[in-house]
Amino acid sequence: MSVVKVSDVWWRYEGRREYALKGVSVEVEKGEFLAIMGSSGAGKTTLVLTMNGTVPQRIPGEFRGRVEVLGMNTAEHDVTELARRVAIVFEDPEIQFVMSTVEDEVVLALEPLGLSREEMRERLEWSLSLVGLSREFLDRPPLQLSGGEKQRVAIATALARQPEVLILDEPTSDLDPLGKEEVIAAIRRVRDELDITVILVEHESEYVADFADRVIVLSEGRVVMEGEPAQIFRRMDKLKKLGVYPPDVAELSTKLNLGVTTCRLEEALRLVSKLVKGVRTRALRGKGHKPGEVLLECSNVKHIYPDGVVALRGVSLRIHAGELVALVGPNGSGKTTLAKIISGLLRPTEGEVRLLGKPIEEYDRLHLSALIGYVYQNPDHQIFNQSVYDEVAFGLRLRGLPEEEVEKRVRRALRIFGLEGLEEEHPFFLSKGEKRRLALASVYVLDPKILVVDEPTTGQDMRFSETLMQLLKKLSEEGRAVIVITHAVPLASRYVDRMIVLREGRIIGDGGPREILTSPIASEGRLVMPQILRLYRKLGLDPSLAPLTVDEFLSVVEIAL
Amino acid sequence: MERRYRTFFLYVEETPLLDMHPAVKLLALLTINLVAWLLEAPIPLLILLALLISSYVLLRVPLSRIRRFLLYALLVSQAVVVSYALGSRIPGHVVYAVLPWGAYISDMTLLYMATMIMRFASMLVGSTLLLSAMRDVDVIYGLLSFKVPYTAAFAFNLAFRFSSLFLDDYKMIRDAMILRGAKLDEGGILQRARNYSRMGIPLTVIALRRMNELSYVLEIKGLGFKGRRTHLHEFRWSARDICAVLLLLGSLAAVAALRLATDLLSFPGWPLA
Repeated sequence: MSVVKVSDVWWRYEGRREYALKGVSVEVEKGEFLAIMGSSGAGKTTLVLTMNGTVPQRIPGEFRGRVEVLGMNTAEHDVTELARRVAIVFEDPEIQFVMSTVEDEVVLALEPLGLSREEMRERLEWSLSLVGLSREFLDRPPLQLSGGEKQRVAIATALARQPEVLILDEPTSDLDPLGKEEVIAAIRRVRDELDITVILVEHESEYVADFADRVIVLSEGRVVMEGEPAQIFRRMDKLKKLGVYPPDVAELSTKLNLGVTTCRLEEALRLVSKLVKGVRTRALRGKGHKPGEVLLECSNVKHIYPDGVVALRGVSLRIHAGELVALVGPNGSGKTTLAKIISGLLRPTEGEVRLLGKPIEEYDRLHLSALIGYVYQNPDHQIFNQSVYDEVAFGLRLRGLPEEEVEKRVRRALRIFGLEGLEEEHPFFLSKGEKRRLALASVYVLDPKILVVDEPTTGQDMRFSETLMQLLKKLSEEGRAVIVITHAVPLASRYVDRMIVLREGRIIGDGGPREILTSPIASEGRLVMPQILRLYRKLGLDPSLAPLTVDEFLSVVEIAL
Repeated sequence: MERRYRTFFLYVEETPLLDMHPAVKLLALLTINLVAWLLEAPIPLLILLALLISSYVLLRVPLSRIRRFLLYALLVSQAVVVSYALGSRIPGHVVYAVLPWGAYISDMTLLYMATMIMRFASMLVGSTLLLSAMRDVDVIYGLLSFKVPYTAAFAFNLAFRFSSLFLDDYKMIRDAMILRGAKLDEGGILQRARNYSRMGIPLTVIALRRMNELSYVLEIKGLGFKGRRTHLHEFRWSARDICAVLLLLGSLAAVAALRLATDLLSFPGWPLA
């Protein structure tokens, strides 16, 4: 029996020329776990918003077709009425909280149901325990929880109403690895313990492979692929073109021509372990990274915020020209504080930062901003001019450069970041990816020696993330030092020269990605290893080798076929 | 590791104020501000301020809660001093300076400035005391007790939530501009205003986006629901609450009566000839 029936839906946002959904038809059975995948801007969120009536009832635009959820036409039934049976959890947990305690937050969603106090309390405790949160959380302010806890509270709030359909819109994309693990465990419990229909929008194919009964892939507003995870992930080349990257083990099984496509690590281990003959020990001994001159040096940097929070407890490091560095570690480890100190936005409470041999506080702000650029995670915080051209030119004009020189440098930056032709556009009407490139271009144009980029791939699809990392690599090869703050360790490990691991305000590891990921620091810093490396380690092969990609795995491991 | 000041409800868990009915807390907030507004004489204002400060000790609310607002208090005091110094004509016994545009500074101008600062300080100290014992549910339930519709009560509460998000965005945008070399605090007042005006666009766009997102979220949580709404918390009126209401209303009525009927609470000699 279908609980969700989307029939030939077309939707165009007001003021847009292109349709966001173009004749989408999807059916979801009762109790099914459906995953929706696709590149950023493919129409995934728009599609799920049609299922709770937000589209077309609350967002202006042009709608055609029909969406029925639990027999209700979502274009006609009131959104509040639909919300009693269809719950949705959004990507950003913070925006979903409006109350000051977890208890009040969950209860807010129960108040319209007309329940007695006892029923409310029962549901409150049941939903929190389902997502693994104890009674101790009841009095805690939701905004002060960790990322994973926040998202679990959001899921508990949705579940407390005992909906028949639960929609999770990229619930893990804003989280650090620990947060992701917590949320994934909560989703697993929901799937195993409740008879509920779940629709999950997700970029990470490994999670989808773990949970989903069925996957649909959207591209430019159309359903282009549909089937079980193994069927979908077998079509690797097509998927990658659509911005969806299959799990490493699916890629491996396809490349090995195993006859079956395996999507789960344990399955892959069972299949591959029978075929392994040994390892080629010389396979991964490439040339090491040669650091250039020292651009920046931190000596025993400590930072304590005015409210007493100790963010950094004695950090010493050197950043060299020409290196791409990943700053990794769990939330609250001090990454952003360190980046702000490096860029001169915060002053260390103790210790010293020297830039090109001179204490950083001796630089004038204007001069400093030409030496160190900082790109924010959310480009909306960084963009404030009326056109793309003016945005990129802003920093140059501040420095009083002649307009011909400004134009020359702006044009070059626009070309490098693929923004040509958008010069006159208002930055706020650009796509998410374009905005991110614009934020990078507006900092790059100042020709900084050090570029600090905060979480550039969060919420982005793999194709975009790969392109961005390639771009950052290129910038570092031009002689710049590029520091990327990231949780996307599997992706970063393929590009960076060096990984600095922070935990509780201290550097616990500093070295090449292979070196870090094969040492105990990886688990201490709660780093997520690439799936292929986890498979390699489970096979119990030479621990000194660490393949980070499927191709590296195939070059290291001798397989009998 | 980021600092997290996400709320203006500077919650203190040890104070006996917590056990009071939310409507009493709201009424107290309103009364203190109204009394401070009605008082114009320096001595009664000084007494009110002293009473409020001693209430911190009595109600076990740390005085340090006020510290966070000292900068704002200083700014407002500055504004009071500048505006009365440059633009008032309050007759007094001694005139210290006469300005070319006719305004002058007398001994009474100085006393009036001090009075205004005390009035503002009383409002600040009193509001901080009560907000230290209030959570968002107190605001909602308190307003509901006064028969304010649920949606309006909730919207009022939301203003606090939204202002903290707005402040976060403001700080982030400001930092982003500084990092690109903008010198926001340089130049004269006009130049500074121009520097800061650039922040208007991203702040407005982000605020609108946040409001949009919040409205979807609230609708999904059933805020617009028209049917019967039940509540988890139960707030019962105690004898202490009723006494507090009587005391508050009595004080307000007494101050209003004295202010209207006598000169006891008026500024000395005001209006001066």
